[in-house]
Amino acid sequence: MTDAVTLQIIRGKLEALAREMGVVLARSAMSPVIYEVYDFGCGISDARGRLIAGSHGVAAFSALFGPQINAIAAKYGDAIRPGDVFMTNDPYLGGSHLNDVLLVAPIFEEDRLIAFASSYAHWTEVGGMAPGSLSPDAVEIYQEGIRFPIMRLYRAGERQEELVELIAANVRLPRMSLGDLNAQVAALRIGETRLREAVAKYGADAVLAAFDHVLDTSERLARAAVAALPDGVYEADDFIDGDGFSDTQYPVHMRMTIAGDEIEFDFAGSCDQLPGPMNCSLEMLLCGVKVVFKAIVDPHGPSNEGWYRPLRVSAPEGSVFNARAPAAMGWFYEPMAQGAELVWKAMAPLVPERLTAGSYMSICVVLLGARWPDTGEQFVHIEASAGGFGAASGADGTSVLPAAPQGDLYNYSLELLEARAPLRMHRYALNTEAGAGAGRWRGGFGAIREYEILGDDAFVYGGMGRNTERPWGMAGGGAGSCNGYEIVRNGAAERYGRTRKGALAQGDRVRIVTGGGGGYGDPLARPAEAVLDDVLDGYIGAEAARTDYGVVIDADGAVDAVATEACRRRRAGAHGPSRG
Amino acid sequence: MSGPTRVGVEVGGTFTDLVAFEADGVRITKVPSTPQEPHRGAIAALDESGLALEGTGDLVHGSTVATNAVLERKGARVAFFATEGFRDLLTLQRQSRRSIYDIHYQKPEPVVPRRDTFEVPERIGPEGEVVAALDDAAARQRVARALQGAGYESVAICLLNSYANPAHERRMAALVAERFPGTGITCSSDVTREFREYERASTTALAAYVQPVIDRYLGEFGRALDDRGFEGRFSLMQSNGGRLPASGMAGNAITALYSGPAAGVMGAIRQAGCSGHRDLITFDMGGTSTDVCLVQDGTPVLTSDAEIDGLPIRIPVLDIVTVGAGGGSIVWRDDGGMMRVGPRSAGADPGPACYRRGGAEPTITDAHLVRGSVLADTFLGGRMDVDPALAREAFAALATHFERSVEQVADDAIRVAEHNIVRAIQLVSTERGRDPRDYVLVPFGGAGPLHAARVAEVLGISTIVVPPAAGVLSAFGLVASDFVRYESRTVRIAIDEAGAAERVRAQFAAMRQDADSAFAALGLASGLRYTHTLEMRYVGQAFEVPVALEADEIAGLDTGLLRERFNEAHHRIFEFDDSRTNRPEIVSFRLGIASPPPAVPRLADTDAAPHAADVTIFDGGARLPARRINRSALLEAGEGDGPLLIADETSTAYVPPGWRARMDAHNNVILTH
Repeated sequence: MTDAVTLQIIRGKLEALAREMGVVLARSAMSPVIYEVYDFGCGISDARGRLIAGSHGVAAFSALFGPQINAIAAKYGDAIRPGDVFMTNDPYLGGSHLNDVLLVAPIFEEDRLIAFASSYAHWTEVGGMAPGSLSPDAVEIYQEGIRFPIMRLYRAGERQEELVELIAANVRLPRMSLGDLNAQVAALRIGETRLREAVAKYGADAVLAAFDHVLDTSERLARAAVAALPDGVYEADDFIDGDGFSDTQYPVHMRMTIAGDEIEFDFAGSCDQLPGPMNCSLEMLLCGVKVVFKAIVDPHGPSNEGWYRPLRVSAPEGSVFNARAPAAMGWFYEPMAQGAELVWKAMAPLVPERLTAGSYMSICVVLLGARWPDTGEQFVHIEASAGGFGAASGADGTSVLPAAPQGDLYNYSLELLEARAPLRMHRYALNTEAGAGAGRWRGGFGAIREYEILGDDAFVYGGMGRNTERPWGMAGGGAGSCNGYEIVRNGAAERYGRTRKGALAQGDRVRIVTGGGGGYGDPLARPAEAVLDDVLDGYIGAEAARTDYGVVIDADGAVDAVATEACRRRRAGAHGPSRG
Repeated sequence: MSGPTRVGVEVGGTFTDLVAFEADGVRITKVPSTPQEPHRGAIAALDESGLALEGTGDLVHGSTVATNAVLERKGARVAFFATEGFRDLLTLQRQSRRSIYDIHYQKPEPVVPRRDTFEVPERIGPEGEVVAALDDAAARQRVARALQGAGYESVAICLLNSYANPAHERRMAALVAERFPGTGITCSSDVTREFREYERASTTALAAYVQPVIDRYLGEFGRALDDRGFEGRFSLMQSNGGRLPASGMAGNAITALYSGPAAGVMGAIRQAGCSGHRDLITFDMGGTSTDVCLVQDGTPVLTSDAEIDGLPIRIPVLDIVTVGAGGGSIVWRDDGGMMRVGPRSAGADPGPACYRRGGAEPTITDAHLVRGSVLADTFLGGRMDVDPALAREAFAALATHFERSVEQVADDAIRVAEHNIVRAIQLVSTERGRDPRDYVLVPFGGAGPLHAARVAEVLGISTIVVPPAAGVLSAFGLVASDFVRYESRTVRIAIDEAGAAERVRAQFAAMRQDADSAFAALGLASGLRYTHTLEMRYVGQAFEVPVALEADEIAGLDTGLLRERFNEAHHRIFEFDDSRTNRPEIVSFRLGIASPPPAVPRLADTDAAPHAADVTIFDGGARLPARRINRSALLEAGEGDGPLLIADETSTAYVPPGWRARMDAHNNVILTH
């Protein structure tokens, strides 16, 4: 029997190990989306595929791995050998989209399989009908690139070079994609080395006991957190704002049942799967739900499967949240984020200290392509945009943060981008123009990024969700603002949300705009000094101070207390009592 | 020793330490720090020591004043100028969420609020080309509008791509100086010539933010020294482990950010070096935290990836990892029922429960008293009156919860703290591709030597060097350190392109010229040494691996040697190298220049040491009868076997069973097992 302190020490090692895997992956990868943006996840799982410790990077990835590891075990069973490395990117086997490639290595202690190390990474290129492999025109998964069923990339330590050649022949940027593959293998090696060190020091039995301990402790805390929530049935509704094929608003619905220490999320009543790539698998919907659930039960610790044992998630087959083959899945992250958002919206009033008012929500992926004028070489830039988060009781919303399922996703360094792409940045700023939801606590702001196209044969795809439906306010706070992108040519701007491929000319500009989050509480209760600070910082204008907050700023830039009092009293009378 | 007195004054979070090397011996003074007005504590240490400053030739200072200015947001009012369209860089940051599941996440607060950020019309491209010339008239107007009557103490300028061409930043600086002479100005290209605009902007803003604070502080301290007749050289420790004459801090204050922890590392290098040890892991455990650093062949590892309070700093600083495990760290139970130690600390006030100042939560110091590894009679050299009964009482609740004895639970707390320290050491060793078993552990600070042996066991380290006066080793490190300065440049060169080696040589030569003249201006010209580092990667990667070159290698440098060196470095960190299919490239250059101090005095034991005693230590579930001796007793006996406590005026070393201690000719206690 292993004592509590030893268990805790092993647990610390496991968490450090997962983190170190992520560091190695990011630092040696070739795709900017991995090394600069951190679109990856690593983890260590037990022999049954249950995640024990996840790395930093994309939050949703760190909640994953289980379904694929189980599929590996089902397919290979006793044939799994030390030195094997398995590979898959199949969304229909628990994956996300084809760009996200998963590698899994079994770890043995003598003859006993004790764990798996896994690394997920977004490859910039996996072939298919469009550079970057995220075509909004795709209607079948076959158009989105090369699909790896579960296969052995390494057999007993030997890399299967024919497979590598097959991959190289099917992707547009083989050097980059294979460089990422090397980095992922390096991450697995570090994970394995570190776990072996722990086994050597403490013995396999103690390490396995620590696995169970990690899962059981998290489960206990998660169940206690659910039990503390009021039993009942809660529902949330929202819309998917267009899918690139049309601007239709597609309804989505979620019904949450809390009973004792269990919680069930049923997404029946949501729209059918969409014709384009905006569909996700039930596993990815589950990941989206997990991300929000984790934020409620344990926002600061690393992920493991134990946290999610009280959860049940269902969605009808053939719906946007549980698409049937061979639906395209490239933009899976949009329905996943939408699913997470429904859970968030239903939960926020129950746990206002952990969740906020509505955020910009969408992953907001925009893809820009062009050819370098001098060499003719193709360039593709794929970028997810951060936006404003909602306010919460006690804090203004955070400006320009990645959407919840993305976790710790970085932006591209502008200087790095300009050195590598036929693009010039003209602006990267807080989106104070469209603003954020007013409230006792104000929403956070979105961002504006403006690119000038310097290359030839340029094009743009837009994936800006929440382009119609605004982020919701809470407890009397105002709604936030919408996402979109604009093409600026000859001085005139046209605005879009989700679009298929559009052509651009050299000198055209693309302006990516993300929205601000919702406010929390009555704006008339926001202290006048805080409103004045917002005016001085240029977050809001003096006019908005008066109309949204009832605060009158005089010609010297100070609060006019008398006029403010009068204005607020008048407004409170018109709209019901203020709590200020 | 002969010659003028040399003094190190180190301002820590709790205590200010002074070590004076005089003709007739070593003098140690400890006074409480005065965080509100840090120069007072430093001056009080001088006065309390009774030193005659007239005869002092060299006074070196290490201080947390810059660090605290940032942590408490008490720096200068800064006006920040950016390229038009980019004033929000400091607020946008890298948009990241460091706690990946925290939907309620708040970003680190920038040191310059948005209202103090301004834009100028200009644009430099990624190759350094001028895309839009800086409009002098417009810039003049914006400078005037932003600064006129606004009372800024400091101006920061960070323009896009200025790493490739700093001309516009320099012109802006001239325009500000022309209209507002006397205002401090910091250009990003002078602080760090490396790409990534947010990281450079953050570094620049921080530099401008701490400069006036350091200027004022050094002014006050310098005046106090003048008043006391000091005529020697006054210098300050930098975060890179080298010092600079106080005059060299003008425009350079950000290098003082980690001045305190860096001093200890340099003291450890010097003292362990006397015994012939050059590959070290330094382990500095004080009241609130533990700092660890890896030293390779007598040289501390530098990083350009540091941050303070979540804000990045891109200047070379010692690669020190800090964890919240110190004597004052609080032992507590988390929601999951697990025992935790730190990062919250009881600080100096109320301090550990045993201090009798009303602290009720158990700390690591209390745990040592309970299990007998620290004795009440010698706490802090007998300067502090402590109550072991209060320490036991503080652990009672945890003992009940875990159904263990008070001793056992105190021992568990120490194991948890030691595990946190092990983690920190792994971050600077295994995570950087270094095997801790190849290193010697050098513990210091008041608590380091108590934990070193158990920490070493977990890491497989077999040799420990405990320096004399370990509790004040940092102050010694100040006196022992070189004068140092670094230059860095981003210049991309693929190693297989024609003339690559020639360009590397020319680049280093130009940087050496700049470094020489900067040093000459500070009166430093003798015994100069240089270090040459290339930051390299495979084309397509974004993070670089440092590759150090010896001065004599540079003359004969060619593509083959560059490739070989890079592959070695890459393999060590990532466990693969791949130059068959990938081309290595150089991304940036770093040149270090160093000038040694006058002959470094010997660190010896002081006389004030506790008496021998028979003690019982509860360790690893057993009660061990042990002997507490002082260092001079060890010197007489030659060696001793654990369990043993070896005490001096500033700290106590614990030698567990299975370990042997001996005193060597350099006053170091060497522990082996």
